Amino acid sequence: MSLDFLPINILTSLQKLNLDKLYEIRLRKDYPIKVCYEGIYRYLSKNGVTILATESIICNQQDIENIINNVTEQSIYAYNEEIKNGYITTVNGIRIGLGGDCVYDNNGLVTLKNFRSLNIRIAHVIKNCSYKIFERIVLNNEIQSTLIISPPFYGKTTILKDLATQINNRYNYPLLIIDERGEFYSISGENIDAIRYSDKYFAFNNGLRALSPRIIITDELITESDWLCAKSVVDSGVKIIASCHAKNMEQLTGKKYFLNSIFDKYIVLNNYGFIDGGFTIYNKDFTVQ
Amino acid sequence: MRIIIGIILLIISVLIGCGLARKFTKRREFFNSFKDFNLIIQREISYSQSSIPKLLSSIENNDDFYKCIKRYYTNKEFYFESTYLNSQELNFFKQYLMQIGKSDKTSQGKLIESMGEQLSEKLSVATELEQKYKSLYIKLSVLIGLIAFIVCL
Repeated sequence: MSLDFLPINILTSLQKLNLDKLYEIRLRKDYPIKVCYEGIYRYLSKNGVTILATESIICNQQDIENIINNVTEQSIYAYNEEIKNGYITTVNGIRIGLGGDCVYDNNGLVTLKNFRSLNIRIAHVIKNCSYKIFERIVLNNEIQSTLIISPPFYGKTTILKDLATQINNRYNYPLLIIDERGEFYSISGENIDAIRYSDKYFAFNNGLRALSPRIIITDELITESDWLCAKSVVDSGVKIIASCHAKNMEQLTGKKYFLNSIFDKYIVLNNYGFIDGGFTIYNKDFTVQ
Repeated sequence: MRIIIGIILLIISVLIGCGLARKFTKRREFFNSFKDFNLIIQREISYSQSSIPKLLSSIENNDDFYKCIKRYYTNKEFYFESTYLNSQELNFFKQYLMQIGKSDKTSQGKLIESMGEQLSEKLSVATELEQKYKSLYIKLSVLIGLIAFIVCL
């Protein structure tokens, strides 16, 4: 994993950590840098991590600007569509959430400026982490349309990435990844096609027609359009595996745009930072499997 | 012996004249490349939106302007050893590099357009100066060299 877009003082400190256990780096102007390391938020210090704010490295405006310039290769215009959505993704799939000021004109949001906070989400590929889930979503050798549910940071994307790999390895039919934010950058395979950096409406409609997938994998169904696209895919006979932010089934079914005719299985992740375990599977009729 | 010294003086004089004249050519070439790059980046921003380093890697030109800009994007520092740009022009170049790519498409479009106007002006001044002084310096150097040669005889 390449974090060379970070300023040298931060990078030097991070090199003292086991990057496999690093999930998040949070930078806020004039405040100590925090990292989520081994699932716990701690301060980043010269010697690694610390619980003492006094020993922490303080983030300044220049650090934030340097990171933005490095990730965008000093070409913000080339990343503006992502910036308007509140994030940028590095070339190797690390997503950086942006906090700053929105700029509007008559046509709507133009860009974000005066960045003051960054949330660097470290993408992980954990081999076979979806194995238990995979076994439970196959029925008569057919993958069931499945929605993975959890609050942010429970490992939904990591599971989706591994599911894509599992399906690619075990089935010989085309799989389409709709990767709005470039987070599936590291996933490829002989059966995998990917549409990246596109909104879901375009990707679902064009991907379905042009790439004829049997399964579509995508992250985060949020808007009404996302749900309707997912429904049209399932109505076309294609299976879909997606994720959605919710704490439990009650929250999911209470969502304004939720459609209950799309998915055969619902997987609720129970543990923060998942990967090693807890999930509950619900059937189409919301009964526990 | 005097003839040889005279010839040497003539050659030195002509070389100095050519060196001075070359500065005007280099200056004009610099602004020519600068203006070209500005046009390329204008097209890039409104169409394919590649990042500047990617764009630069596809440009084979390696004159002073491109050497400097490629070095700027590789090493992230401005370094231009110039004998033909004045401090105002150097500052303009530095400011350009510091601003280009640092905002959204619309703002960049406006910036590039305004830079383009200034660059056209600078290029026409550089071209005019080259036409005016290049041949003058060469003629003068030949003349001074000949006088030195005659004096030596």
